[in-house]
Amino acid sequence: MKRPYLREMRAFHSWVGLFLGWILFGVLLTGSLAVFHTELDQWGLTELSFAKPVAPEQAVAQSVEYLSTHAPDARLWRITLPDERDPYLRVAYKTASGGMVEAILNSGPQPFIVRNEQLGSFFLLYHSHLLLKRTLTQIGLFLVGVAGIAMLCVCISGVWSHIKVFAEFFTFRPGKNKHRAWLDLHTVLGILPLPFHLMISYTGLIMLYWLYVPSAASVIYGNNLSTFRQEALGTYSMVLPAQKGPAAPSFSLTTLLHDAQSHWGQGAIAKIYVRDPFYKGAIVEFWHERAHQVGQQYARRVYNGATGQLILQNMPLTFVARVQSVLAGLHWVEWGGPSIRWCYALAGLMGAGSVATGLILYTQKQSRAVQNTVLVTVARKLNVCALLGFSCACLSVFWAERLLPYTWAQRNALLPVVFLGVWFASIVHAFLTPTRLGWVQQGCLFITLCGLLPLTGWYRHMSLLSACMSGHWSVVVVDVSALVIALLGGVVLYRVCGYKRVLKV
Amino acid sequence: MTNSAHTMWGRVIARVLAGTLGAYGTGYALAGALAVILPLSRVDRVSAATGVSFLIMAACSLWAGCAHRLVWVWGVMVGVMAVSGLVVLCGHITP
Repeated sequence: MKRPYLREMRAFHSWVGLFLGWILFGVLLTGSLAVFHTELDQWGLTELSFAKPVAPEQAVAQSVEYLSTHAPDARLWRITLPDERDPYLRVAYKTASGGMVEAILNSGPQPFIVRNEQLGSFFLLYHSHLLLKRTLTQIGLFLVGVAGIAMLCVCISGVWSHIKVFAEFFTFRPGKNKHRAWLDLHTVLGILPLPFHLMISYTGLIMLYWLYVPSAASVIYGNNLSTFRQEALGTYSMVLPAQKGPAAPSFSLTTLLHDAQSHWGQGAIAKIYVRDPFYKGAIVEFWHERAHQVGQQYARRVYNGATGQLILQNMPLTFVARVQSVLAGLHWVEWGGPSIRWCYALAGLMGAGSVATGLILYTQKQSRAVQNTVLVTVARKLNVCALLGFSCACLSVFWAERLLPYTWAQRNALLPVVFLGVWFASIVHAFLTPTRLGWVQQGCLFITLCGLLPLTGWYRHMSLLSACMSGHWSVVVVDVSALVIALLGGVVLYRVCGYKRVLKV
Repeated sequence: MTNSAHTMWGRVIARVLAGTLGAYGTGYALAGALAVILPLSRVDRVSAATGVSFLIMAACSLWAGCAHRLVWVWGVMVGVMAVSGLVVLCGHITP
């Protein structure tokens, strides 16, 4: 029986996949990397290699000392206590312009290191809003949201457009003709993690639902969206009143910490937020760690920062709020430990691979049909720079993170510059060279950047060998993964282009 | 360009607009209407309505991309937007 809408679904799959695939590939690749954002930060923070986790009381005292000196007038302080996954004590404060300045406090020779963006958060920012900043952030968020909805539609249309559904899903014939091999690879990479793809695209939208479709919140809350955020997220400290209250001495944060710990237990507190410190309206929020729960919502204890009086504890969640929290938590993956994070990263990379093979398939199909239109030529070039060029740009950030001196004040601003510079160079290169040569040269660059990445450790006195000896497993895993990817990349390049063809171009 | 090329591009643009702006508008309006009528607490109404609207948006995009007769797609989407608008209006007027 002929399936209805087969031709239309195929056309939809091709066109939506083509135009949004270039964005989706980047979002999926950076998302897969951002799953390990804490570990990537540790890979870059080799100067803190001897940092030892400190007790919560000591951490709080150290943080308050730093923040009172450097940001006494800030309207919001954030203290992230060290834990098993992230052994660094991080503090942050809100500047007058609304941005957050983050610092890592070190017990070593250098007492603190100020860093706004690190390697992990760099990929997180690209994944969430394509690195667009300030007024453009909304556009970035919106583009990623459009890509998320498109991914949902493309997954459904992709499944629909296969005639022999189950026979084709698990078939990979690399020995057949090139087009068939790419198609099989596209199907396998797209179908095996299909439930993951559907889940991750929907939960990505659910995470920031009030931003993507603000109509429901506007209808119920009018212009008073801060009340909605307070009710939906249960946060007091995030909602800043227009004016600070009169100055007042602060209640001891360590005493409040002890009170929260007496209810939750030692080591259960993940974050502390302080709103308007040293003022009458001061609020102190303690957030419970969430590594042992799927839901994104933190359990909280909220205190009056001036009197020490408990305002709120464990805000009860309704059924819908719990569903939203679990769906968002499924996307944010703070739970489940390293095994779940690896599953997410691999499924995300398979998704990126599926998008990449889909884009290649489109141009191959058009070449077979001898339709060398402007669109196909541009698509071929864009494929090179959107797939390999983007991957090289991501790797260049790894290199910059290690090679740029961490004492430079402009260091934070340089990472996006390096990323965009390499990506722009790859676009120029792709459009100036023949397509096949572009694939080979950028492929070789990718393999070189990946294969030589562990050598950057020598520059920062953290070679792969010394990381193994000192038990610095984040460094070991990233370096070994880079070597494995370089090896796999070499095999793929050899298989696809062939030794003689590589020499020929 | 010939007349047939004009017609083809016109159809493509209408389809793209239906799958993007039309689908978003439908989801946007429906989220507002559902937020008014769902029997939940006010914060839950926002989450549930918006969560459903994402699925409606995806369905509308898919339909717009595959429909043989686009006029049906536009008809349904405009109808949903109009009804949703009325529901939101009534929700505001009703004390």
